[in-house]
Amino acid sequence: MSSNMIMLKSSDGASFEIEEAAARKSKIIANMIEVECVDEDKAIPLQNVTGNILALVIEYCNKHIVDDDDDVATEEASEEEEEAKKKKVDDWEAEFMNSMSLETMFELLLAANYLNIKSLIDLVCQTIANNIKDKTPEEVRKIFSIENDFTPEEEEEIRKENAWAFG
Amino acid sequence: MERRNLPWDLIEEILSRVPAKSLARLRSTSKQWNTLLKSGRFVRMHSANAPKESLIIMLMDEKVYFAKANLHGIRNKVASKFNLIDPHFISPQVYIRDVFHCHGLLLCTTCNNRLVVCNPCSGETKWITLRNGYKTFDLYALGYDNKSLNYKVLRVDCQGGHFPGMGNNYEIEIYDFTTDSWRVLDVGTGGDVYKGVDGW
Repeated sequence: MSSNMIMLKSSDGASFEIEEAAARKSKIIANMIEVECVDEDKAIPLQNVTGNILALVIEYCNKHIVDDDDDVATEEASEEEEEAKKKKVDDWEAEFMNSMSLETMFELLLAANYLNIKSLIDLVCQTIANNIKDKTPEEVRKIFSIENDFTPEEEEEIRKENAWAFG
Repeated sequence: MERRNLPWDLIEEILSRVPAKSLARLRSTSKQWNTLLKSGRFVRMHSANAPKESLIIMLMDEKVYFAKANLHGIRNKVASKFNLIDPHFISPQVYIRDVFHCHGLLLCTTCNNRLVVCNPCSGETKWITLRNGYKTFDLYALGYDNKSLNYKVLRVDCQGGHFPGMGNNYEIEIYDFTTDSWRVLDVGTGGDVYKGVDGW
């Protein structure tokens, strides 16, 4: 495993050191490394990510790079071991997302999307999905800043079509 | 911290992970959401991304109910009643004789001898006209044709209640949603039926 360290710089000027292997979780950064536009002495500037969000992204990448290494080392792991390992990752992810506000989740999702980290996009989207699944259309409009463009009659019509889902 | 607005493709990603029943409720959020949730592209995205959940379809007193059962606990949630409205009749409630399903779509035969496919999540219904009228012993199935990427309905006319493959006369036809028409299958007896069905 490469233990090369690279530097990332947030939009508000905070610098972070991260293992190259962890940073490669981001397809954008991996591409930059491939085409050798990463200068060892210079930090990669990430214009769209603030320091507090970048810290979360790095925490996530560090955690998952360790897990990926485990996968290689225990190729012949039994099914139970696999399951236990998966549960450990799931528990960590649940804990990671647990105390996060919706505002932070939105910021983290935008950062994951910008940096192109597929598994983090999946995790945050699923967490937001779980968060809104029991909410009313009215509450969901507030969360996503959506204006209700239905007339009361149209809205009533749709509610009638889906009356089973309100039970 | 002020909450930022998400680009549309990320909103689609989030919604494709929301359970179907919640989505049915969220259709009235806005026109854009309603259009998205009903689109075929989104339905495919949802079936790839959403956590799999099982829903039990029950037929009680000629009405369709959905129920959730958690086999790990005793708290099972029963059930929401699904109301179907027939535009051709004044009666507000359609009575269902039998129900079949495929990918969350329901194919219902009604007690007044009609055939309908409905999507409980989008609220859309499609009434299908039968070629020769409905017979009590008809058998139906709803399936998805991976070749033409299209849903089809199979109808087996058993003429008297015997199952196919038992040496009786029967007629098999397939309804195609894109052409809105029935096609009679030319099949022999016995196991050939199933070969024919495989090829639909």
